Amino acid sequence: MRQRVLLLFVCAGLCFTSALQAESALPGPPPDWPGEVVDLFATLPVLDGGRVKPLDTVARFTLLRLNGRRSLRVEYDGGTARLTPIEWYLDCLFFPETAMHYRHFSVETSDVIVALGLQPHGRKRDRYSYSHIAPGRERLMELANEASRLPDERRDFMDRQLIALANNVLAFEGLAAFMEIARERFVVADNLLLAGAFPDREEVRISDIAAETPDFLTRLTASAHQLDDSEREALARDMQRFFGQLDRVAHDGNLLALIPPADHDDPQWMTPASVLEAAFEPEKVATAPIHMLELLEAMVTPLPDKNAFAVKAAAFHEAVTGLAEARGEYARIPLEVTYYRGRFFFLSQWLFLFAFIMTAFSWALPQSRRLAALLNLSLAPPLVLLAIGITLRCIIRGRPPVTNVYETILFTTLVAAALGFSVEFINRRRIAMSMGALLGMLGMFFASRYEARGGMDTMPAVIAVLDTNFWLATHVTTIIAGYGAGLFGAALAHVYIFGRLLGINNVPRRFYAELGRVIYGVTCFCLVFTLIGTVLGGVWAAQSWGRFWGWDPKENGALLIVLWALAMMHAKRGGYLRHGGIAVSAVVLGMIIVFAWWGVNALGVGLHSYGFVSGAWRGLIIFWLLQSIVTLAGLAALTRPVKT
Amino acid sequence: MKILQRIFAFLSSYGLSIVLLLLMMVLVFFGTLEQTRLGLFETQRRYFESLVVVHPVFGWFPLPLPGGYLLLALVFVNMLFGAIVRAPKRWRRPGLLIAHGGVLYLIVAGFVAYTYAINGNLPLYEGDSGSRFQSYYEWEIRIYEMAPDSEGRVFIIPQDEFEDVGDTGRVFYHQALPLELRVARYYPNCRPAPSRDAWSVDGVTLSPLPKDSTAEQNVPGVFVSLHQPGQEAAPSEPGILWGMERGPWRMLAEGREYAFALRRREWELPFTLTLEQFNHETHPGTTMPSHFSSEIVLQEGDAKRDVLIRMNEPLRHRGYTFYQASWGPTDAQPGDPLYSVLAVTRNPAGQWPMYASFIISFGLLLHFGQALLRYLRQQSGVPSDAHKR
Repeated sequence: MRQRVLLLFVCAGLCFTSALQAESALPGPPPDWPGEVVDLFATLPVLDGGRVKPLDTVARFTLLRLNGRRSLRVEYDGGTARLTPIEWYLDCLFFPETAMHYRHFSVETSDVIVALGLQPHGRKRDRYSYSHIAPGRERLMELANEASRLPDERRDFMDRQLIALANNVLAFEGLAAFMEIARERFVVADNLLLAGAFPDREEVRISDIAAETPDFLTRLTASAHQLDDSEREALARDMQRFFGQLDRVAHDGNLLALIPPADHDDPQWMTPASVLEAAFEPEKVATAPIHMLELLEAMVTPLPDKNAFAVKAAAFHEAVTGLAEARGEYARIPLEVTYYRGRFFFLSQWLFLFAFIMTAFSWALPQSRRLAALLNLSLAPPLVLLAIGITLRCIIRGRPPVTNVYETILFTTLVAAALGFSVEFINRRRIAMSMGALLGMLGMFFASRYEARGGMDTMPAVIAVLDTNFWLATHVTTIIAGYGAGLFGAALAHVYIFGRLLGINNVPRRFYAELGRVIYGVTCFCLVFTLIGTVLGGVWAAQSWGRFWGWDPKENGALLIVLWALAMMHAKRGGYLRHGGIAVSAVVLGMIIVFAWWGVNALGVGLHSYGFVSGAWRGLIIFWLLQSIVTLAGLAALTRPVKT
Repeated sequence: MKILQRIFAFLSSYGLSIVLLLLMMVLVFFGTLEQTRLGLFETQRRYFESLVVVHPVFGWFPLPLPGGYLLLALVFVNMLFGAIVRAPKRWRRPGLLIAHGGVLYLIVAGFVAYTYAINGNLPLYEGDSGSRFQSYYEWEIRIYEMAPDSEGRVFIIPQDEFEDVGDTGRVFYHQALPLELRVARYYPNCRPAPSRDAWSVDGVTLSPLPKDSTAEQNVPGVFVSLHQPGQEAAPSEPGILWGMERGPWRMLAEGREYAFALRRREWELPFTLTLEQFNHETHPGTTMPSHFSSEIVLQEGDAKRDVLIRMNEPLRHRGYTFYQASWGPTDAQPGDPLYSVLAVTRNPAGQWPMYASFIISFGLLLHFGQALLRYLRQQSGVPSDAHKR
């Protein structure tokens, strides 16, 4: 059905396109939604991925998945516009004939487009619209089907691209067709069943059918014996046709579960289609919220008049939020919208960059305590923003800061940058704060990339075994704090190594010795947190499934960090390592942390399967190679004289 | 005397600690990578519960390494001598003393668990009761005296007595049994297959399979034969025992019937558990599980009580601990009976690691707290003991 609807649009679009001979076939600007409508839909609660979240979040991650960006640039005759995710989502829902011309399908290689028998744009990596891809849709689905039959490890880049594009095309078709359930009208005169049920109507909508037809069918069954054979046959044929049509509409209307059930014990929200189905089930008909279908229909009727639409949208929003509030599922919805609109992490990323540039410039300036203190303060705003973002996430979900891989990046970054900020107070050499700012920037950049690559909600429902806030709060956060500290130590070690390697000796007396001591101190911090975190993990495992230690890869990864840090410590105490040796070892510690953090997940075995990452090997190997070079450089640097 | 002193100095040295720590690192690293190839159980046995392991570097270069068992024993000695007996300034740095004491305790806990702990599972369908739990990996041959005119005794041959029998086999007997059992050719993982070779019985033999990387999946089998006591050379009755056989192998001897079976090792519980109901919930609109729990009735003598076992909330009773491990069938339709699998452990050192963890954490925080204070004092110009060294 969804495809048929769109094909109609596409046919219209193609005539249009051929006339214009260009793909940016939007003759005018995209629909301009009043601010209040955008707000209403942004804060509309939906059950998606196992939790109730604002439609804004659903829209964000859908657009991110399709477009690879958090907003959409739309070109039209006479200008360009930038759409927020929710505006784009509304266009897809309510103006699919416009949205099908948006270039929102990000395609990594034009080979995909060529494989569909279509003409690619000039660039290898580009964005395409539905109207561009539609003529090759059948081919796309065939190719993607073939590709998805291959086992995961045998799929190549092209296969993955085809599967991704096919999924995105289906996602868009689903969106475009979702409101059909509210738009659909059934002509009464065409159908004996409807003519019987609605004798004085010309056309009816889904809500009318849900309200009247089930009763009528019961009456009809009771009086069926009065009909003669030919009447019965004609009725049966029309009934079959009618239910076929109803099925198709219902299929499209299953995308969004945005109707909270009145029964507070029922966790399952309803889609418009499930309301329709409930109306036909004797045990559910009494509670089926058919009025919600009416509200949806009332909303689409006045379009394209957006002001009239706004009034009806407000009524629908009020009905949904009223029910959700009564179930206690609305309280954190506006907060989540605020969280995303605040763009805390985005701002934090750029402020970290700013802080880093400031500190980097300051290296050229003479040593001044006041200047250093002032510069260090520039680390405070991005840190605060990051902390606010993390705190809001905790409040929204009612969970400790780290429950999935994405959040490990945020928290590690916070710890590393916060250490830079605090260590600067102890050792005012402008090294700690620079590295704090650098790690903050890199971490936030990485988090943003990771989120975009996954294109999935980063606050998903947690799996059963993680359903314990106590252990998540203790074990996971301490381990991650250890990662952050170790990586910060490794970053400082780079300064040490390159400083000595390049023979930078115009530094204050005892500079390297002090830096070495700071690196050692940070390593101790890393050891304490990783060790405590690891044993806490063991205690959790013993509580949950009866063994303290199971040689699980993730546990082993943490153990590797602990063992290396312990070896460093003993070597220092035993006099085998001095500052230089500690610095070089700290770089190795960083490599081990990255193995424990990402490498073991990429191995694909073990219990910590909430965090498997695929295709990460290339990045990891490049990182380890670079760090190995730094380690070797460090060993070389140790032979150079140093001012103490 | 001098030699003893030198040995003591070596065993308590920093150098030895560092070498041991690095060897442990290497072992853990390879042991982690090997899991992708060998599976957890086999890796654990070969790398971490062994005295020596030969690791194939890049799949071919054999690198001998001390195994986890040996390394931990050496670490124990090194730590005991170095950090406790000979620790310099131990009273001025009590944190280190405490932390090392905690690690020693942890190693002891590991040793006790490795030596004495029992692990198994108890699968129960709703409505069923169980007072025995079975091993994941260990098997045993059971010989049952059959009703009606018997005492219903069961004779058991544990796996470690027959897993190394080879082709010649080994004879097992018991004074209360009117027959002797020869056991030969044990396969840790195999399946029955049609054959006419010398070992086949009624046209069937056991065909060996490579060990599964998930050790619980292995199904062993063994060839057996029965003869009169003391008459090994006489013609005997051959048979095959296989782990997944539907029913036992039955034989008559002196007018009494005996049944033979190869089964997972079992342990008796001093009480009975009945699964009243198994509950599982998913996050709404998904297939992602959010909760599992088993409603259990625990019966001990005449006393009964209700218990709820769920993720992260096990039942601890009389030294046994029952955890919610898994459930099935996963393709069950609403209304189908479900089963719940409880993981069972009896570990005399069950809570020791937790106590050890607290001790270690306390020791480390104390030590590094002291160190930080010293450093800060030094930074702000106040003389500290660090300068006096």
